[in-house]
Amino acid sequence: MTRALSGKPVDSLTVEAVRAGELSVADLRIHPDTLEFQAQVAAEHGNPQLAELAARKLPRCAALVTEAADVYARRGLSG
Amino acid sequence: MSAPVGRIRFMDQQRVNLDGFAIEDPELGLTALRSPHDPEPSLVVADGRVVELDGVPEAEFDSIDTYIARHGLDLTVAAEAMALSDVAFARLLVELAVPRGEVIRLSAGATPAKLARVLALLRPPELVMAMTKLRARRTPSNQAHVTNRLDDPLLLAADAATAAAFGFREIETTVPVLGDAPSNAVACLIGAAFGADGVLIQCSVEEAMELELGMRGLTSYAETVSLYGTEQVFTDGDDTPWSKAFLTSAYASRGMKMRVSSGAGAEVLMAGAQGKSMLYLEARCVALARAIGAQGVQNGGIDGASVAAAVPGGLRELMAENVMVMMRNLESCSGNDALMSESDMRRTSRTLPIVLAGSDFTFSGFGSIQRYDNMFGPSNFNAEDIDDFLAMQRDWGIDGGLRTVDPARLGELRHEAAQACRAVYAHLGLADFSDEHVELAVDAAGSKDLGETDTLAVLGAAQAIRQRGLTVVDIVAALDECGYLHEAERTMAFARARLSGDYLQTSAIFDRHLRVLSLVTDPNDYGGPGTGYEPSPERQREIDAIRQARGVSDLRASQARFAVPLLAAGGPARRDQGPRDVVIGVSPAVGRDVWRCLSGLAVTDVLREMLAGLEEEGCAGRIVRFNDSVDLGRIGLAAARLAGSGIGIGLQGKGTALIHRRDLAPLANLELYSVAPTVTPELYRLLGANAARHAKGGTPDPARNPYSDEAIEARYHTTVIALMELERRRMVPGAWPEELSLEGLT
Repeated sequence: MTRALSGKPVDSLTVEAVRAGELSVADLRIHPDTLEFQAQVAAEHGNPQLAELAARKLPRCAALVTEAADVYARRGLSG
Repeated sequence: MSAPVGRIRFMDQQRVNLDGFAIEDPELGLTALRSPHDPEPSLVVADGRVVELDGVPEAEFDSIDTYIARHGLDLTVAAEAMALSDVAFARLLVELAVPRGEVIRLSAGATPAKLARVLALLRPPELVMAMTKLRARRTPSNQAHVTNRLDDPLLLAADAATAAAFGFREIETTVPVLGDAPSNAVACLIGAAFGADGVLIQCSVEEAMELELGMRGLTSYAETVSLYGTEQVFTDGDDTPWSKAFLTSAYASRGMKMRVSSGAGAEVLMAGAQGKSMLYLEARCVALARAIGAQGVQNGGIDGASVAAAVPGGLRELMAENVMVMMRNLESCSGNDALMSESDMRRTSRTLPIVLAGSDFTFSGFGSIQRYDNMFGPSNFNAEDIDDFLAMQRDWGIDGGLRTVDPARLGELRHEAAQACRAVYAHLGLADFSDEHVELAVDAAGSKDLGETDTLAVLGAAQAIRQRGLTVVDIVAALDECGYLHEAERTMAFARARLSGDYLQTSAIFDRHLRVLSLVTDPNDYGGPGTGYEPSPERQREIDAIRQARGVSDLRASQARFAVPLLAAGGPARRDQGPRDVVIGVSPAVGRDVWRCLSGLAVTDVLREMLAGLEEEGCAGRIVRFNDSVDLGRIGLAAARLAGSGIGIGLQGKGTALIHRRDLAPLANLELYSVAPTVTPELYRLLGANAARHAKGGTPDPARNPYSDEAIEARYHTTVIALMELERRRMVPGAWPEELSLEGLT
């Protein structure tokens, strides 16, 4: 069962729920587990980079920042 | 120097000569497929690390090289891919026995220069084959631009409904006034919900605003992150591959489909091509797009399409860019979104091969609105061309993503969408629009038809949407409370569907039943005839049923509207001995099913003119219907044989006419008006007069068939076929001719 970022099951996100004032935008944001699952699917279908992007985790982001900083310094690029 | 001869002066006046054509100049980057400054493809890997890429050692990598080397290549197949000769690699793209997956596998290990060399070898039909085979999604589709000069929400809603109804699966809007963006997004969201289920919406504006609209669920994809093939152009815009990667990640990690933009000519226009060919620079962009994790690329020139088109082989280059995206296993949004020529033939020539091959998106923005309303600038095809495009789909029996919409249904949809948009804006306290404004927006072919509007009200509405943080939930609630339950449900269902994340995969669209079609769920399996995408019988009927198509029953009905109570049958035709007697013989359906000629003249008016012409020259005409033949020569000859003078006129219902004499062979007539659509009343009168002169043994004044440079056959042949069928159905072999009443004709 797919859930929204809020944890609500997707099936509960209905016009009735909107009418009852039960929904906010957090109920329409994607859940990290869903991104993780889609990342696996992308990797299985020949696009590991898309997989990485979708599931980008903190350590991976940190590595990219370090890499960017190195290149910015070496190439004299504006940051 | 003397002025050129008239033939050249005449050629100079043709529209194609408004286009600019550049002499190839590699120093400026004005070369399509190959420059002497392009590097030799190379890839050196040491200890699992790229230490040389396309002739550049690691120590000299620029930021683009670095990013591609670190993230863009599958080193497990690199040696195999790079060892293939360019020709051997190129053949894999078109050999039907080699599956798409094998090309994708090898391409992942090929450097930018390698793929550029390979694609430069493909000739146009090979590019078409490669695109047919290599696009990720089996089912082709299309994207629309929906914008207007005024950012008028009611017109945007009506036009978004229109675009969705025509079959576009993505709608991209943008603004002439940045502050209006939230209003445009909301208006398109509401409008599209009336046209079809599952249409993805984009509002192409500055990144922070675009991301914000997406996070509030008002838009659902983005394609504005631009990539360039040289570091200089990147840094001129204060960007690097890393900044683009972070931006790309910002969309994807929030569950928004996103693709990047690149394309030939951008570097040339910014004087930053560094002497490289357009295809090589684009190869770097596409490798980078894959490396940063975008699911797709919008390329094929885009804003620089006319730069590519200005150099030799430019159109090949544009299509090769799209195929390269497919080789990198990404979604191709295949350009055709900038008017690249003033010539209709050149712009069609640019687009047609991609339409024939089919792409994930054949256009990265077909202008579904008129040229002047396209705030991206005119697209290569626009509202002016929708009927042409529908006809082209039908002509070739291919699926370009569009379908015909019943005119009455389109009127209803536009009305519902504009009304709903007004109701939602009023309900949310954003703006109030008058009944008259709704009616104008429904009927408008473009924003010029709206007259003066209150553009400040639009800006106010947009600011309110932003400041109050309105989301798709608020729009659903407003639709529901305004009585648009179906569209509220539709918008909610779409918001739910996005949460499954399936549409983040390569080439994902929603179909009309909210099913995701992508590389994963609808993989392209083309392998030659009998395989790959084929429109379903239902879809083929949709493609074929353009609203202009007519059959025999349509023609019968339209002819019946012109019926008059004349030409009553008056018994068997008689022979007459009078030397001034001339018979006008008409075909079997005249006076029964056929009343109007191809020229638009009433058959009775034509007969009136002929009778008057005969009378002017002192002859008496009568009208006889021949029911045993539809052949004009035989009708004319038979008429002559009944006439006392031995002279007859033959007239088919469609308006073709001739003069005949009783001693001639059927095909050897005296005068013939063969081009029925162009014959005038004066000419029919002259035909009558000339028939009389023949009857008296005088000298006729032969008429010349009027000349026309119109596509007369294209206009009339289908009508001729149906008219002849009406004639044939009235034919009775061996039937005796009948005399028709002259009452009301003389």
